[in-house]
Amino acid sequence: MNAQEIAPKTKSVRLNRIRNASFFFRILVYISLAVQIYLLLAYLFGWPPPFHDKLRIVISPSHIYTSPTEMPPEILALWLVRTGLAICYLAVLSCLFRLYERGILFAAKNVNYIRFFGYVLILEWVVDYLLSGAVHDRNISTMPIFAGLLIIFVAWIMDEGRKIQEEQELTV
Amino acid sequence: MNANENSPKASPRLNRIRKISRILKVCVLFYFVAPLFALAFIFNQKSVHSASGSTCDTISIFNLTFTFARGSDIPMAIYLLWATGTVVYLLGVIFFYRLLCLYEKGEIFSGANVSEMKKLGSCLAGYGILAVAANVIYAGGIIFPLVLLEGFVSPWIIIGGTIYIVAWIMDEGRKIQEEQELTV
Repeated sequence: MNAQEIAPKTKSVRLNRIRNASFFFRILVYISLAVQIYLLLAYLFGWPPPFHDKLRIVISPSHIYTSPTEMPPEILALWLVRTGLAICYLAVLSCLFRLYERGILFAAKNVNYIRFFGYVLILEWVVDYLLSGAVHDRNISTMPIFAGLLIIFVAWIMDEGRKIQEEQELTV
Repeated sequence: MNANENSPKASPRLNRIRKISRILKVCVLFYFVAPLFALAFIFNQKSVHSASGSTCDTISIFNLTFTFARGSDIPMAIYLLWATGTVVYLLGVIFFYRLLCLYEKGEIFSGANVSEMKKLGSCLAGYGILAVAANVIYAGGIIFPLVLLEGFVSPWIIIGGTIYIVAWIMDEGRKIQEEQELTV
């Protein structure tokens, strides 16, 4: 048994697995992105929503809107920001999977993308907070903000770990 | 320049990781564990007056608000989902705490870290699935395409799934590195 032959084989098997999985999830993200964008445009331009007679945007139980003209401008602006953040999140997620597909697993760019997810979660919470204030229904959870901080923390740890490994590799 | 002087640079980084993990562990205990004795912040029921002058009851779980004519109309399944959601929430906090313990020991890319991250991702995704289930019960049944749509745009499912997949990829990358180090 030639150990030198086995190691590259195992490495390429693992890398192929990562590439295939990343490709599959990237397709799922694109579908999710398409659905989000279609729902946004369907609401703004009155296109027919999939599998339903009318698209309803629920801000709170007493604030349900079926067209942008019904929405007060402040609420419409905040809702657009929130939807935009969700779309940005999905776009960056597809970029992250693209890096994994190329075999780039622990680079600084990966960490930046993961950190971006944390910031998006926190920003979404801020927008939700402003929205709930606008509809006078302050009933939101702080869980998204903690999830965002958790993701930023894990990204920071990954970055520090990566730098430690790089410094150790440079050490003679 | 003595190149060996560079490697001790890793210690300040590790010390920083350990210190912040220790602080966060204390924060987790104070913020998450203490309020468990007052579970009302997860399950919040209140009566509201509608525009027609009648009173109806609303409950908030999974960051969603459901309205019922009376409190007694709330189905048992919703209570069950609330209980399951609480368990999932608690498990998520426990896994995060264990992850912090590992960082405090200086373990950053080990198999145990990856395992805890996967569990954390599963809890977040599970929370999102429970929210979708709560919506199904409230709607009175599964409207198949809409449920699928909700799954695709649910933030908790997407975030939990992202964390799980990233943890899995980290694990594969770690195994690749270990195998390369073992290769002569």
